[in-house]
This record gives sequence, structure tokens and C-alpha cells, in this order.
Amino acid sequence: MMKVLIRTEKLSKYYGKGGKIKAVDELDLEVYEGETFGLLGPNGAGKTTTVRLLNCIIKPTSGTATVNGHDILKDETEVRRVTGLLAESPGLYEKLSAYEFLEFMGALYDVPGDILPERIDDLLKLFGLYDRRDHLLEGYSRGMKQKVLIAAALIHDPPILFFDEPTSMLDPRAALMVKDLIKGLADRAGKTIFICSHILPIVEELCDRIGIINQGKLIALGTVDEIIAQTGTKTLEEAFIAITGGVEEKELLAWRERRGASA
Amino acid sequence: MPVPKWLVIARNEYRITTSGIRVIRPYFPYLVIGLLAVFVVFIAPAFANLFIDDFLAFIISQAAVPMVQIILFMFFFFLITFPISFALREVQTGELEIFRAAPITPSDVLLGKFLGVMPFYAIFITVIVGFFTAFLNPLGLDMIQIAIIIIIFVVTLLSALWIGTVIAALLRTKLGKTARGKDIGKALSLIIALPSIALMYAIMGGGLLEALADPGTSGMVKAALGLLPSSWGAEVFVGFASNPGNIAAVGFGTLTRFGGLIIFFVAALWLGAKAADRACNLEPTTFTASRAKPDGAFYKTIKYLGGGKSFGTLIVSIFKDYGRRFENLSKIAYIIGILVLVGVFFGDYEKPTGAMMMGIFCFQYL
Repeated sequence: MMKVLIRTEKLSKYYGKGGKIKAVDELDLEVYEGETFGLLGPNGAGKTTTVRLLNCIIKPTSGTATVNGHDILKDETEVRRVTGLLAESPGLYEKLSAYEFLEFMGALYDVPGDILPERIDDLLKLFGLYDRRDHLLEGYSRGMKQKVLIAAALIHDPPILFFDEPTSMLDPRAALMVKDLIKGLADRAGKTIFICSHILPIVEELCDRIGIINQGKLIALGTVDEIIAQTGTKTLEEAFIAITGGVEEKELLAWRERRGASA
Repeated sequence: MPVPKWLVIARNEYRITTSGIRVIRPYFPYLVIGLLAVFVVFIAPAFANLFIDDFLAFIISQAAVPMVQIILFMFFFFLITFPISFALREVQTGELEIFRAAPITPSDVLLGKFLGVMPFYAIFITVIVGFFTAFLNPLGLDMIQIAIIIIIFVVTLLSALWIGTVIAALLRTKLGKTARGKDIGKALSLIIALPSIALMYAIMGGGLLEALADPGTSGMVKAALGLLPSSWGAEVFVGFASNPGNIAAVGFGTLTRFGGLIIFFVAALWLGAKAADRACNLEPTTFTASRAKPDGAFYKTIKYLGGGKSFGTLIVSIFKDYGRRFENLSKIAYIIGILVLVGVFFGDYEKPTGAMMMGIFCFQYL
């Protein structure tokens, strides 16, 4: 039987007066050890809120979750020790070099001083940044910064990695590179990876299972093939639109016809 | 044994701040300490000697206590507002996410950030303390009196800096979550300097020293400022300067005010640590987006004057984009504020040309 590494139980996060805005609504989810799980959803669906809840950055309104057996409400510090997070728009110290930044992150996560330099060098070599280790991050391209941030998420060698929109800000070449990195981490390092994205090809290619979330509710769960079969569609894109709802092309162009602007 | 997290964050802050001088970073502390030693031992006493007669006359005058109170209050206020203004200039919460995802406590973050910039504020504090000590030295104060005065200055200024750091963190977290909040932050970073400037202008050109010579005014200022912790050291300072080598003459007053200051500092530290969780909070505060109202008479008139068509729309769009940013409005308010302050304390605006010249001079900064 596969070990469950992330389990949410009616996990909810509500905002606004009287909890009117349901960012995450009674989420029940299990992610298994060594699996790459993708949480898909349109913008504002509750993906980032879920990741923030599971990393103890914010507190749930109700419900709870366990990460590697640690309760997010009771063992915040332990949860943070076993996870690595690549946030959607993380702060990067532009005035530090890649080496200095990773050294700082390693110290924050209590990586012993005698192994930290070697680990930083290994990660910088792995990501092809070793030659630029002393360059300030302000001079790095977006793709290179993303590599540094992934290296930072790995610095304490956590068993669980969270990637929130890992390729959304990247050009196709950098996105491909990040995708290959994530694939390598899952295949070779045996990490449990939780990816949030609305970029379907990335999720389709990388994830063993996916969950689709919309308006805070988990509305589909399974492998890509299972979800396509459930919706009676041919592609994940069609399945996603069928599940989350979308505007058809005919409706999109209606305004031109109404005003006779098509000419 | 792992290094304390606040120390890790403090080291990182120091690294970031000294990033521009990374070539000389290993020698930087020695260089600064050397220069400060030269200032304290040679430059400050030489400067004090130039004005020692005026200082001796001042220290026994009616104006001494309130004036030192005002000076200490000015430094206190400056050290509170400086970190706030600095933090609000570029409100970012991205780095906070790194901290919140790591196994560290919010008080580690706050203390680390405070200690990380401390070496640079310590330069400022040393210059101020060195300057005042240089004036006291020729009076014949004993070592205990000088030590107490140094501690009073350091504790007063550190309290202010800690309060400023905590308020800055609270505001940054509160305002950094929305675009409107960031705009308000930038606006505040400028406006917040006006009270300090007003006080400085009042001392420089407003005849404050002469006004304080009047017992009525002096007593009023003394009573008002006496409530503030920044003033508690002022009476000790003047008391020691009036009774050099005789600590017993002002023993009880010294003990109460000095003790009060230490209690205030400890309380500020404790309250700051308590507020740390709120200062590092990433919970969203609002989901309400700002809305544009339909164009009123002002914009309609502008559009009409612009020809009513594309050009008018373009002008109105520029007006809206400029006017809806608090940062721009705060710049206008700041310049008007400076204009008024210069007029009140230095200027002669009786002639319209004087006001016009000053206006032209100030508005170019917009």
C-alpha cells in the first residue's frame, strides 16, 4: 500500500465578511509518496491558497491537513522542515550572489555548516550555474532566477516539494528547462512533488495524477486519462473546459456581429 | 549547534546592505571604527571647543532642558520615521514568503532585520553621542555621569529604532498585499518626513531658542515633551551638566528617569516581539478592488477644453492616471508643505515675487 504524504481533511479557507469568499472549500485530498501531483485550476481557483495552507504560511479557517505525518496546525515548524517551496512570486535577494542566497537559505533550514558548501556547489553544478555562482542575482535572466529558487527549495533536501506555477513567467526555452528539472527530480531523486498550474501541457506531461479545483472546490481527481474519460472528451484541455466551464468562440465574437464590426 | 535564526537573518541583511562595497567588506568595520574613533577623540572635541563658551551659557539658561528635550525628540522621531520611510518606498512582501515557509519564528525575522541594519545606525548614534560627550567633557563630569549619559542616548535612540522597525514591518505587511496599499506606502514615505523638517526649520530659523528663553513658553514645552520617553534623558543630561562630579545632587531624579527609560526600552522590545506575528502575516486583507467613478464636471471640462475628441480623452486619461496615484498627490502635498514651512520660518512672503520664486524653485522637483 502506498504511503500518504499529504492528506487534507475538509481543509477550508474563507475570506471576507462572514467568510463569503471561499478560496478553498472543504478540500479532501491525498498525495502519495514519490508521486507527482498536479493541482489544476483557472486563475483565482484556490491553488496558491492551498499551497500556502500546506506550507503553514496561512492558517485554515476550518479543517486540517498532515504533511509527512505532521499536522499543519500543531507542528508548523516540522511541516516547514519537510517541505521545499517554489512560490509563485517569491522574493529574491537581488543583491546577493547565487552562492550567498543558497548559503542563506541553507542556514535558515539548519543545513549543517560542514556539508552546506558542498551541497551548494552540487546544486549549482546540477543547474548549470556554477560558473556564475558569484554573480549577483540582479544580473540573472528569469529562467536562471527560477533555477536558483528551485535550488533553494532543494537546499535542505526535503522529501516534499511544492511548485506554484513553476513556468508561468518563463519563456518557452526556460519553461522546458524547468520542466526537465522537475521531471528529473521526480524520476531520479524520488521526491513527492505537488505542482500548481494552469498550463495544461506541463501538468499533463509531468503529473502522475491531477486534481482540478474551481472556486475552492475540488471537482475532479484522477490520472489524465481518467479525467478525459470521465468527461467524454479527447484532450485534457477539452476536459478542463468541460469541468470548469468556458466561453465558446461563438460567444466571444458576438459583440462584433451585434455592432456590425466584422467588416 | 545551529546558529540562531535571527543571527542568520541579521548577517544576511548586513550582506545585502554592504553589497555595493563587497570588495572592501572585510575591512569595512575596521575602517568605520577607526574613523569614528578619530571623530570622537579629535574632531568632536575640537568642534566643541569652538562653541564651549556659548554652551556654558546655554546649559545654565532657562532654555537648556526644553532645548535638549527637543533635540532628543528630533533624533527619536527621526529614528522612528527613517526605517518606516525606507520600508515604504518599495513595499514588497515576496521575501516574507521565504521566511514564512522556513522553520523560523516571526520574532526571529523582526530581530534579525533590526540587528542587520544596526551597524549603520550605530554609526549615526556614535556620532550623536560623541558630539554631546565632547561638549560635556570640559565641564568636568565624572566617569559615571558620562557613562550614564552615553547609556541614556544609546537606549533612547535604540528604542526609537526598534519602534520604527516594528511599525515599518507592520505597515509593509499591511500595505504590501494590494496595489492600492503599495501606492499609499509610497505616498506615506514622503509625507512622513514633513514633521521632522518642520521641527528642524523651527530650530534653524523660527527663533525657537529665543522663544524658549521665556519661562512661560519654556515651561509649556518642558511639560508637554516631558511625557515622552525621549525627554527623560534630557533632564539627566542638563542636571549632570549643571552639577559636574556631583551625582548625588540629582540622584533621585536620575534614578527615576534612567530607570523609566530602561523599562520603556524593555517594554518596547517585548511589545515588538508580541507584534512580530502580525508584522509577518501574509493573510490577505481585502479582495475589494478600487473602482472608477463616472467622469464628473472636472474631467468633462478638461475633455471639452481638449477638443472633446481623442485629444481630450488622452488628456483626461493622463489626468486620471496621475491623480489616482497617491504617490503623485503626496509629492504635490510635500512641495506645498515645504513651501509653507519655508515661508513660516525663513521666508518673507509679503512680496508676491518671493512666494512665486519659491514656488518655481520647489515645483521643479515634481
